[in-house]
Amino acid sequence: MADDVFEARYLDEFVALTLAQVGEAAGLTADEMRELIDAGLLAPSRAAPTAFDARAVVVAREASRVRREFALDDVHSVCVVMRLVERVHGLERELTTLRARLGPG
Amino acid sequence: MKYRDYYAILGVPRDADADAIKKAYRKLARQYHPDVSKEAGAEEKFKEVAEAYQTLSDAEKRAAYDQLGRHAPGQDFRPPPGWEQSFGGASFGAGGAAFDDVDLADLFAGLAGARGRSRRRGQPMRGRDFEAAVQVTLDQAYHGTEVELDLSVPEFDEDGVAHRVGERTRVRIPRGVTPGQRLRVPGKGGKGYSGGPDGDLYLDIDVAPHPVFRIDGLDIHLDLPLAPWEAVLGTELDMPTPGGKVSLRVPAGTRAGQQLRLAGRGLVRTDGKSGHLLATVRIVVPTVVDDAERALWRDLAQRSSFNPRAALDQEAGHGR
Repeated sequence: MADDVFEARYLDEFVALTLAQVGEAAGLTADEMRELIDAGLLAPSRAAPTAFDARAVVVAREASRVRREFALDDVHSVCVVMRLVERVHGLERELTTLRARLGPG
Repeated sequence: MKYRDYYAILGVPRDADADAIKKAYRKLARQYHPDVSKEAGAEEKFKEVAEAYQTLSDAEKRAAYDQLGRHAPGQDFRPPPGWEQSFGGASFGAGGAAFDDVDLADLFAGLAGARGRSRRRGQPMRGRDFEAAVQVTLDQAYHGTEVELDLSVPEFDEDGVAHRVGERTRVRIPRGVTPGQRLRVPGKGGKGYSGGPDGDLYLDIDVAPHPVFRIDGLDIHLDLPLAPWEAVLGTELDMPTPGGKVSLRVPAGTRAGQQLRLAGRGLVRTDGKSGHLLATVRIVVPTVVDDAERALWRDLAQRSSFNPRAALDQEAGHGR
């Protein structure tokens, strides 16, 4: 079994997934998926307007995780939390950039 | 199988209603969720709380859990006789299902309604996705590498009982991965049900700190120490990069803090996207000089009209 080597792929590598496939991977219904699209958290791949890439799976799974872990009742609350978490991650990336540029001490 | 008292973990009585359970969970989630809390032990505490809520918030799982009876936390136990027939979904073989390798959290995962959706036997369903954290060195991130992963994954038997099994998987990490990046290994997650596709394995990449290079996206930063005469006169030197040494021309008049860019010498992905190597100049001075060197420095100090604090003097005297 360990002799076979499996390729790990970038998430933005184009993989044509349907909305249903993304929803299934994230454990979300079609209606819930459409709510995420309406809220601007999900968008089809730029390469094909009706298909989604693997990043969409990550975002959808994240939405599912946030709803589950904070016991949120509605997608609006999920969107607010995800935007805040995204802001925190952005600040952490800026901090990493500054540390990389300034170096130790 | 070790017992965990989910009611005690959430701080609710055993007859608490669904609203009380949800309220108790939300309060603990706000306190311990890793996205909002950095206190020591918060992540572990959150996992415990989330596991308790996942069971007690589902009517069927809660009923199954209550029927396990009460035990001391951490105590080894087995479900009471008849439990499997009531909640296992199908009859078990003689001697009952083996529970030694079953985790309490996984025990209810095979119940109908698990994962938020009902499952009818025979209906194709996609397998679960797995996640694993992988740390690589900067050299491995730059060149790509193969890693062997030892995963402990739940595998459902035909009666829907989840057993933890060890699975070893060898994965090729492409070159050019960055800290915090997530990769996908298609089809290496949980097995699909009734002919459904297998889930995927997601890898969270971490790159170990390097003594010289610092990563920022696909760019690589390092400090470039120069002697004062090298900065003034310019020089040519061998610059270390993750891909080997390259020759760098330092122009005359290079200042401290200035960034010298080597285009395309950062991390390079397999799809061709690449970053740059950015060397930040640091002027370093010799701290031990002999008499002859000291004399040369004194001579230069007397001959030069250079005032490094000219702008400072001007700013300090502004408005007088």
